[in-house]
Amino acid sequence: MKRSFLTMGMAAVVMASLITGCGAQKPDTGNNSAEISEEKTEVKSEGGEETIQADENQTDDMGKNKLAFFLPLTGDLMQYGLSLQKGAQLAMDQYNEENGTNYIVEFNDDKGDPTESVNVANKIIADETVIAGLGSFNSSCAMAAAPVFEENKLLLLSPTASHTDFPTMGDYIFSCVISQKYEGAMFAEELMERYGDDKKAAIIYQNTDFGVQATELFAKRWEELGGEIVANEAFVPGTTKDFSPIISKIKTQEPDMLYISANYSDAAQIFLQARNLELDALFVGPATCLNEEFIELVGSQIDGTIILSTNPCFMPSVLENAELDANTEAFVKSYEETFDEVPDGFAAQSFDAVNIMMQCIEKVGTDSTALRDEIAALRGFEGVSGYDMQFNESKEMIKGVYVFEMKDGNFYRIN
Amino acid sequence: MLLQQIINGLTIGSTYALVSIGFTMVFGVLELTNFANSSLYMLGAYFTLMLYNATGHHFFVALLMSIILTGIAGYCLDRFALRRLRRKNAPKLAGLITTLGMSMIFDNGIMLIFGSESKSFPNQIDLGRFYIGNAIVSWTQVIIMVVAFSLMAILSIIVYGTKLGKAMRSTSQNVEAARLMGININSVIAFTFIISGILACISGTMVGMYYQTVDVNMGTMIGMKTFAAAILGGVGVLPGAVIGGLIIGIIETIAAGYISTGYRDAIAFTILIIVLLFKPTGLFGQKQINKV
Repeated sequence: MKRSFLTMGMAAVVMASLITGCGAQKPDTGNNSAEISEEKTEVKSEGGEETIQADENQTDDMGKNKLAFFLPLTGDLMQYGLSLQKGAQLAMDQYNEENGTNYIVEFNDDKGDPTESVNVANKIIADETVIAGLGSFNSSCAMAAAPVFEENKLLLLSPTASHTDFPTMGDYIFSCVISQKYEGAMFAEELMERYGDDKKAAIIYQNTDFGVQATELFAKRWEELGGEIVANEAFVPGTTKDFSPIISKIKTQEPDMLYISANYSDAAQIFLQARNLELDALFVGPATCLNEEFIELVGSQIDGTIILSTNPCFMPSVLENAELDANTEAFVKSYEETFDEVPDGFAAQSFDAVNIMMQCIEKVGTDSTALRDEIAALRGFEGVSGYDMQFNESKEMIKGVYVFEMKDGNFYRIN
Repeated sequence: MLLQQIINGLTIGSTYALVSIGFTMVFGVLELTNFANSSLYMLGAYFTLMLYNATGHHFFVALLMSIILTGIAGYCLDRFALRRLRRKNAPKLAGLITTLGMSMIFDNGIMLIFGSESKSFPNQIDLGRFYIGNAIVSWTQVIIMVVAFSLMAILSIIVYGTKLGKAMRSTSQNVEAARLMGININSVIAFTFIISGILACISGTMVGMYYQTVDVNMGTMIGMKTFAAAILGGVGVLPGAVIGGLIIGIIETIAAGYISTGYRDAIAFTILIIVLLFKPTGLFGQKQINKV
């Protein structure tokens, strides 16, 4: 319905432009020239700005007091944007309160639209009081805006952009999301350390980019660590619900461990059917399972299953029965007090992004280059969206693995 | 392992069989490919789930009401869309597209109400497991097979043994002649659709219980396989649909177990095509003589 209105509207606009276009040829060309001159002035002003920035870098930077966060505050992705906003605001308020400073975080709406995010990015770099940019929620917006920041040597830290190419887009571009490249290998290490006697692993993964990459790296590392992959089976998600042929096949290999990389609903099916076929192995599931829906599907039928994740779980039931570290506990408590709701993973991620940024600013001030070097040297940051967070040599985020065990139809964090 | 895989295959096959009986019946009477059949199957499962929660977990009450509701949905499908097309002598293709459209309406309607995520479904027939050799069989699997075969038997009796069945068969042979013999074509067709709705509801519920989940795509997932099962067995032949479903299920399981899981569907359909090359009417289909 919405779309049909949109197309109708577009049609009307096209019609109108046609009509006016025919009637008024001359002013149209006039418009064009005006646009061109406008562009010229824009270029000029940009050039001017760079010199100003350079000046500022040399002289005092007391004027800079702002983090510019661009994120979707309207449109389809609004709900995520709002979570990010709350997390960031909370972090900034707490920082100011503790240190008696008055830094601000400014929120700009990019509507989840890459075109809009470039506009917003241009606005941000034009603002001389901005220390660094934060955002956006989705990779496409963040990646569209990244060149603007890179060209102007302004730091950009995205709390949520997960695309593996994002950090490679420039020296000033960072993401707080762990690269998929490392997750698989880290899971293998964690499992080997914890359950080293169970060396024979069977893998079932979904035949998608994500599934293939994640399990390849897992399998490689697992074998390097002396493990054995006895079965490695793919399935096409969405076309099958019956995994009994695969599971029966795997069962003849007598694995010690069943490692799944799939969506929660497929993972639930695989675990339930493996249990029904009496596959005697340790079940290991992906982070996608950490939600209420998964619990509802499996109940307490697969207690003892291990779920690995590089993000903590903010489900109310998990928060209740987990022993939280001091950081997380304080975050959850203050978030609940301020916003009267339980935080989600996105709020935690933007909370961390702001804190990482402020920690670096506190150390080296607001010079972009110094800030970049400081953030790239981040080691062992204890956040609420991850622990032992750090950037590696290629500026990719690495963080610790959370291990959850299912007990009585609920997740319990065991590390 | 072979025995276990055959048991797995028989179970998957029975779920195909359950759905393809309804499909093949509509095709037998109307020569209409009813794409909405797999949506009715999903709809039935959701009705049962909804009523199960609404009636305070009285499963059989819920199932009964769900059967009635899905039957009504089947009737509406014919009454409000297809009957009008028949009256206007619309081409067969129009009916086919209409069923496709109805299928979209059902799917999206359910998605709107329940959302697109998988819903947990209570298994009321979880009576445990037993062993044949070292192969594991659950009672749910046995019950699904028994239900598939008994539905096939009941429907065969209706179609081949009752007056109503005779009316259905004569409608399928020649609509005009049947009408001249005093058969109320519309009510025969409506009845066929109601039956197919009821069947879809029972099978949707059974499959929902077996996998303990239902989701909006459960129909589309199984739709392709039920066409294949019906065609393999000979379209319009009830026992053919059941046998066809079982064969497809077993082939696909063996393919997944011994060759490659990625190619399970490709292998199943390759075998289907090979069979059709040698027996174009399906395993149990009779040669049709086209009237001029």
